[in-house]
Formats: sequence, structure tokens, C-alpha cells
Amino acid sequence: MKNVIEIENLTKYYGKARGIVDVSFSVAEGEIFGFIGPNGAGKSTTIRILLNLIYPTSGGARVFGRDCVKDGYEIRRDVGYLPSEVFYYDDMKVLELLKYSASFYGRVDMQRLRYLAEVMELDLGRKIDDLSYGNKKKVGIVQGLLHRPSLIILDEPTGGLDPLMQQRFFGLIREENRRGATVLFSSHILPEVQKLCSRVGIIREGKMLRVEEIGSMRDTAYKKIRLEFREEVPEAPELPEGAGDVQRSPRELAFLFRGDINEAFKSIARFDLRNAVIEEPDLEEIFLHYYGGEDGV
Amino acid sequence: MNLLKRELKANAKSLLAWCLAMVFLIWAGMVKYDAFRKTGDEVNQMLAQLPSALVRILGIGNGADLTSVAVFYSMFFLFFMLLGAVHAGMLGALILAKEERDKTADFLFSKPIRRNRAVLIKLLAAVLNILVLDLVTCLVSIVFVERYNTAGQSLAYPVFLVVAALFFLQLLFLGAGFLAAAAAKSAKTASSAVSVLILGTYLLSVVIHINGDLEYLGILSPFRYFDVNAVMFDRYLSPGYSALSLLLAATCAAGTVKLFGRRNLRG
Amino acid sequence: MNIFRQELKMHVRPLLFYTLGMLAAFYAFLLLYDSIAADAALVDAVLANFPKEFKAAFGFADVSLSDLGGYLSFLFAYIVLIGAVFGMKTGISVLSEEGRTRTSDFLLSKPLRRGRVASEKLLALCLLLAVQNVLFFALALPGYLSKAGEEPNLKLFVLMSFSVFMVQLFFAGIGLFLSVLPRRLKAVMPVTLAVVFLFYIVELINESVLDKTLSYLTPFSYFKASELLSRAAYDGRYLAADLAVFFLFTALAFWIYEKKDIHA
Repeated sequence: MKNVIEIENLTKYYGKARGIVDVSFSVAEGEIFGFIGPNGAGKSTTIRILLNLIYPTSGGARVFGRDCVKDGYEIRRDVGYLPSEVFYYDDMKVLELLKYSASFYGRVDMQRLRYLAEVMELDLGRKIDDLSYGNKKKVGIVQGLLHRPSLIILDEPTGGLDPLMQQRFFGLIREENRRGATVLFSSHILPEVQKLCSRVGIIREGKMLRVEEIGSMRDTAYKKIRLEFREEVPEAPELPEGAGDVQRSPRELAFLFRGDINEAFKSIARFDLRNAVIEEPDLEEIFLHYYGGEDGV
Repeated sequence: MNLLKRELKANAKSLLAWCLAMVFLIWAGMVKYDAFRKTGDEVNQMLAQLPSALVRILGIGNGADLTSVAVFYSMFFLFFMLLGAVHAGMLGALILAKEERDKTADFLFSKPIRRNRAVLIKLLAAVLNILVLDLVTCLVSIVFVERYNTAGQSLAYPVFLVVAALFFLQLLFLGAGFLAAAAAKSAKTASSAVSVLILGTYLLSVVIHINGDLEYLGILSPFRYFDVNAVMFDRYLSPGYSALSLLLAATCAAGTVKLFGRRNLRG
Repeated sequence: MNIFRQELKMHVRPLLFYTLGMLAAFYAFLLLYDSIAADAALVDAVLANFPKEFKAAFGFADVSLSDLGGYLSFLFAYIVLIGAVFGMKTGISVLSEEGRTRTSDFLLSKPLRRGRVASEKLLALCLLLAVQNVLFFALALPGYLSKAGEEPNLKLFVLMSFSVFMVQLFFAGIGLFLSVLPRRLKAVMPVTLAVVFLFYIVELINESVLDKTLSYLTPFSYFKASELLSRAAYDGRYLAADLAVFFLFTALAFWIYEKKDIHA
């Protein structure tokens, strides 16, 4: 399969301050790629290099097979971008801004504009300056999707959107994806990445930790086991091998487990329980584990 | 063309304000002139006797007949230069730097537009702004000057030349503003740099004016490029300094394209 | 007083910078004095023949160019001009700071009355201007004394130096007022330079057409050094006009700032 984004040993320093160091990964055509990491990890830096807004210190990146420093113009013709912080020309009305945005790509498809605005419940007649943060985000979403780009880059797009709007927004992204668009979705909120993405790249302190299939991440890894006791939890309960991240309260015990599930049941059977829950941990917990793991060792 | 339209629209209000200020200045100045002319003959005779050293320091009249509208109007050239430098310099610095200041740089430059094209379109928009201001200045000047012109000969051409000189100087300050915006970290720094340039070169021109021995420094101060008396009375617009102004402006523009092309835009 | 301190901190560098500019201009003029001194005696001789009324009209009734004070009185306007730019710039800056940096919500959501915010900012503004004037005076004085000869006219120099402050008050008031008018002021310097230069040009026209009534329009006419030379004091009417403008526009600015909608 063709790669839409190929990043190789990309490094960016802002003077002496670290942006990203030696980042490499690629995004295949037609996939929704999650790009996760905490604040300041380097997500926006990577994205802004892809768009040729800033220049890499070393290394390089290709989008649609083109060099993103040399061919920024050609690349941007087919990219839709939603920045993490949305700022637009305060003196414009929403419709004006959207038309202005569309004018860079050729003709304005008014029908599509109205469709997107309707889905996102965006009032086209209001002044940008009077919009709430969430509404500005909606403007950002519409201007990013308006020209049917084949690569959609979303930098922490859901901030400020209420749950209903998030749903609608995810719906639009899936729709575009089915149509063939590739999506790079940056976020620090894992459940939303989990919902939408097929693969994730995890970045931290400017370095890529790893790239994983969402599915394999969940399978191979951990179960989350939560036990409620009738009596108080014993001082040092005997836990199965492979248990970690133990949290203990007077009547509850929770831990992450990786290993032979039979062994787990054997040790659990010794307790006098009122209830037991075994769940797939969400990415958040795995994510914390990656981070915690590195700090902990 | 969309960017050009956007820039023209975004600057329309400020351009209108500048035009009004210019019209007001010319109108008020000429009305004062009218009153002055009627009582000024006596003063005029006195002025004619003033020693040149004092005239230089006072900066009045240049020993010429102040009651003549041409002489009086030639005084306006300094005013035009001061306002024109501020208009062009600030316009240049901000039209480019405002995208980052208002955090719209990510919006604009993530669109399929080449940086150097964006710079050139903004430059074009700025030049059009200056043209409009100068055109208004020229027309209003001609109307008022001709109204008070008692000499037989029309003064339209020399007035046009004065405004042409203004235009060249404005292009120079515009270029400086662009360069400042491309080189400086923020819009604030860029506009401060331009302010220093304007105030600094103006004061330098004053210093040169007082001490004629420093004439060779005149090349450093655009306020010294054009001798308004030569323009007004000899209808001579120095081709050398016209060319220098244009050359400096073009150099600044080229430098801007180069620097801005390599710039890391602040998000 | 934290806002007060914050404002001072933010404007310390421009303050030093502009003071340096004023000093540079001052010392440049001092250096030029030697070159002009040769002409000066001649000029004085010619001037002696002029009728008193004429000289009064031009504002150099008692001016002797060969005297340092007389010479400087012609050039001090340029130093006032630099000071005026700083006064206007700072005046425009203080109340519009939060709007420009989008920190209004941050500051005004603190338990503070708007009047208090504005007052601390005004106080900082006045202190900045005062400090600048004292600094300029202290650092220019040695230069003045070194060239002023046997009997330096100290009073004149004091009056001249602090006329900068008086003119600054005028522009500070106008600046405060202009800065609260638009919803969100975006750039300080264009407005600053345009307004200061407009007033400066009115003064230049004024000097040519010799109209007393016009002089009330521009603060550059209020404390002209050449007038100070003959009067040895500030003119009460101009002083009143200057302070009236400052207080009126500052009060208006406070009133508008109090009622203004703050846009995030």
C-alpha cells in the first residue's frame, strides 16, 4: 500500500529548545492514523513541518511522495488542516471566512459548504469575533473539509466540542475516510483515538515511542481486573504473577494483568468476593502504563 | 486575487482615515495660509532679512516669500514626508507581520499559496494603498493650491512632482517595513524598528540641516533626498535619488522574499 | 499593587530606550553647538535690529543664539517630540495591553474592580514618565553645564527639561482615551506616530503663520523653550490647557474602560 506521509529522522529545535528528535513513521493511504502524546510532546511541531509552516532542523518528510520543504505548495493543495488553536480574521463573518478559505482551492462548492455547516450546526451569518471557542472549532472543521482534501490533518480537533458535535464530527471524518481520504489525527485524549483510528503513533518528549495497531495494542496487552471484597482487603493479598499497577482501597482491589488468565483465576478464587469485573483496559490506562513504565523502571 | 482583495478590504478603513487626515491637513493648512497671506506682507519683509543660520534653525520660510502659495505649499512636503513615512512604514511592517500576531498565519499558510507569492501580493496591496493616498494628496493639493494661485502659471505640475517624490519615499519606507517584518520576531518588534528608523532619520535630517558640513550623511536620511525648492520651483525631481529610493525599496523587497521564505511561522 | 508592578516591568526597556534616544539627540545638538557658534554672533547682531514685536511673534524676543540656552531653545522641540512619542505610546499601551494579548479574561476575572485596574495602570504610566524626565534631566545636566559657560541658566534648563513631562501628560491622556475606543486595539505604534506627528505638524504650520489661537491646539506650542527663555516660567493658560486635556481624556478613558464589554 502507498504511503501518504513518510517521516524520516525528523528533528526540530527551536533555538535550544527541543521540538522533536529523530521522529520517523509513515501513514498509509486510506488509514486513520492516531498521533498521541501529552501536551508539549511535539505533535504540533511535526504537523506544522508537514505543512511547511516551519522548517526542520534535520531529517525530512514526504507527503504524497513530495518533499514537504520543497513542494509545500503542491502538497497543501490537497490537504485540509485544522489547527489545535483556531484563530481567524476577527472582522470576517463565518460565511466570508469559509468562502475566503475555499477561494484558495478554486471554486466554492456552496452546496457542500451548507451541508457541512448544517451538520455542525454552524451559524454562517455570525461574526468570527463573537463566536465561542467551540464554534470557532466548527468553523475550523468546515474550512478543513470543504475542499474534499485527500489528506486531512487534525490537531487536537475535539477541544471545545460538545459530545453530540464530537459524534457528528467523527461521522464526517469517517465519511471522508470511506471516500478515500487519509487522516492524521493528533490528540492527547485516548478514547477518541480508540474510537476512530486504526493505528496509533505514540510520541513523548519529542521522541516516537512506538507505532501500533489499535487492535494488537489491546490484545497483547492487559486485562483490567477489579475485585470487590466482602470484608476488608487483606494487608498483602497474594496476586497472580503478571499483575501490576495495583490500586487498593479498604474493600476494593484493582490491577492490570498480563499473563495466563488461568493463573489469575486460581489466585482470585482464594478471596471472598462480592463482585469481580474483568475489562479491556482503555488506551488511557495502557498509555499511562507506557509512560509510567518508562519512569518506573 | 483572493488575498489581494482581502488585504485591500482589511486596510480600507485605515486608508480612509489616512486620506481624511491628509485632506484635513491640506485644507487646514491652506485656510491658515489664506488668513496669513492677507496680513503677512510685513512679516515677509522681515523674514527676507533673517540670516540664513537662523532660518536654518527655525526652519521657516527658507528666506523666500511666504505669502506666495508655492512657497507656502513647499512647506507641506515635510509634513507629507512625516505622515507618509509613518503610513508606509507601518503598513509594510504590519501587513506582513499581522498574520502571526493575529495567529492567522497557520490558516493562511496552510493553504496552497507560495510564501513568496503571498509576500508579493501583500506588497502589491500596500503599494496600491500608497498610490490611493498619494493620488488623493495630489488632487486635493492641486485644487487648493490653484485656488490661491495668483501667478499666471498653473502649479499643477510642480505639485504633482512633489507628490511623486513623496511616493518614492513611501516606497522606500514600505520596503523597510516589509524587511523589518520578515526579520523581526514579532509585529511589535517590527513596528518598533520602523518607528526608530523614521524618528532617527528625521532627526538626522535636522542635524544635517543645522550643520551643512554633514551634508554627506544626507544619503542616510530619506528626508534629505529631495530638495523641495528644486522640485517646486525648478521642476527638478532628482533622478539619482528617485532611482536610489526605488533601488532601496526593491532591495528590501527582495530581502523580504528571501527572509520570509525561510521563516519559521509562529503558530 | 501587582498590576502597577507588572506595568512598570513591561515598560522599563522602552523607557530606557527612549530616554537614550532623547539623550542622544541632546548631546548631538550640544556637539553641533560649536559649529554654529561662529555664525551665532552674526545672527545676534542682525537680530538686534529687529523690532521687538516681530521677535515676540516668532517667539525669540530675548533669544541670543550665542548663548547655549538660546541655541537649545530652538532645538529642544525635537527632544520633546521623542518624549511625546514615548508618552503617547505608553498611554495607548497600558489600558489596551490585555485586549492586544488576549489576556483580558485572565486579568479581569481576578477579584479586582476595573477602576482599580485602570488606576494602577495610570499610576504606573505617570511614574514611568516622571522617571524618564528625571533620568533625562540628571544625565543631560552635566552636558549642559560643561558647555553653558560661567553663569549657566539653570532655571531655564529645568523648565525646558520638564516641559517634556508636561507635553507627555497631554499625549498620555489622549493615548489612554484612544486606546479604549475600539473594541480591540491591534497595533500601538501606527496610531502613536500618526497622532503625535499630526500635532507636531500643526505646530509647524503654526510657527509659519503665527497664529496665537492655533497654538492652543497643539501641546508642542504650550511650553516652547523660546518662550520659557523670556518668561522664565510656564505660561499659566497653557499649563491649564495641558492639564485640562490630560484630566478630561483620562477621566473619559476611565469611564469607558469601566463600561466596556471585554471581548475574549
